[in-house]
Amino acid sequence: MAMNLPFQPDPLPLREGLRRLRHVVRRGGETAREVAGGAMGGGEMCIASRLATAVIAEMERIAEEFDRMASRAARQAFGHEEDLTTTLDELHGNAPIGPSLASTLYTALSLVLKHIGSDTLFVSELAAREAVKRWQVLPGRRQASGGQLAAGLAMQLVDRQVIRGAHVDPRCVVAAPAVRPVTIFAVMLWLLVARSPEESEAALISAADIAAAIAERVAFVFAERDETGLVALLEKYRNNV
Amino acid sequence: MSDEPVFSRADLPPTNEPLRVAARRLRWFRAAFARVVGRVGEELGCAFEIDDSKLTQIFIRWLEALDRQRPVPKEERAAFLEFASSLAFRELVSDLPIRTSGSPMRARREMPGGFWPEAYACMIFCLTVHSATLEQEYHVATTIDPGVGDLRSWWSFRENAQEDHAFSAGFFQKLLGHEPNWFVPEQFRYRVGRWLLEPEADETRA
Repeated sequence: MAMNLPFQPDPLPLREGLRRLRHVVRRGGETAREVAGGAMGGGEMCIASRLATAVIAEMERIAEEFDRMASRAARQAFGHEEDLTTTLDELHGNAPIGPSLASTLYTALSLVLKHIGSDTLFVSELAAREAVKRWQVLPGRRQASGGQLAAGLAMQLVDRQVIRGAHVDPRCVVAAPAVRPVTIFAVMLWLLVARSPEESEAALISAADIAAAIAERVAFVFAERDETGLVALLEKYRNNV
Repeated sequence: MSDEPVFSRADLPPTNEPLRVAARRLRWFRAAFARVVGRVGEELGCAFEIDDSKLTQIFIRWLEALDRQRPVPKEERAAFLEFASSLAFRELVSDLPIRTSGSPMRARREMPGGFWPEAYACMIFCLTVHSATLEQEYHVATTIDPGVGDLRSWWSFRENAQEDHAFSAGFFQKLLGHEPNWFVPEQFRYRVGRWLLEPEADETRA
């Protein structure tokens, strides 16, 4: 339930800051664990690596707890949960949709990255919110089809660099240059599909797998900034999720 | 175990959409495949391991094939719906997305399910979706060629399918009682004989 506060601070910058902290700690922790893995046997080297690993694990725990607290605070202040069932067609012409859509985008992009095996990248909800703001004032939006709306939002997400970081996990099922396009395309495809809360996650996984299966075509239209081609791909596969 | 292939709509996952629509959705296609293959595994006495990544690629290739060949004239759509399952079978057999961890315990080697369990499971999947869809759309029951259990056809099928993937489409059409155009069995426009609800088929039935 929404709290009736006279002044409602924007919790997103704090939440994003904590997420970045968690990301940096986690990435640092992975590197440290790799380094620690090389310290064989006993002695001072082993003690040092065990100490470093323990400290990093504790920092990760603290950062995750802060993230959870900040997320709860944001929900109480705004009084909304992420809506994982709304489609872009339903959002058409509605306002304001910024905070809830940005939050949905954050969650969905993160899930897709995890599914394709590259959660080493960082998703910025602040950048997603900025992309949504700009997308909402794009000319011709009211006459646009679902595919055109999704393509317009996709390009804004690319321009605002909503997915950040340089290191793509080698276990990722998609080639490194295609990871961002595939992830954004999957979420746009998912936003075009009617789905119940029960099937929402399965639909997202399905959209991610379709996007990964056509990764080369997806990466090409993004690289060329071919919005017409992107609309065609989205319309082609929206009924196959 | 019976020599007749067993397939039933009850093996398919529920959906609020017509089956011809649901079958073109990856999440339903995968769920249906997993359920049917699981049931066939129980029947044969073996466990199938599914490669989801391969299955997705197969699904995408099948959609592409449908898109390339979908006929414009309305009167050909029913026949194309009937033809579509042979294209799915071709894609599945060309890059089998399942494998057994051991020999089937309940199927003899001289039966299709014991001889080539993976292709047999894919055949049952295609037959299940095919028969349920035709029943729902046109109230037509699917009849199977009695020669389906003949091991000689399966020997020939296995040999030929490995050399030419299109052969699988013809094998499936033969199974449904249609004489394939063996030169290009995967091409709808060059099909021979009578297909479901085509004008000449209706005239013959009348």
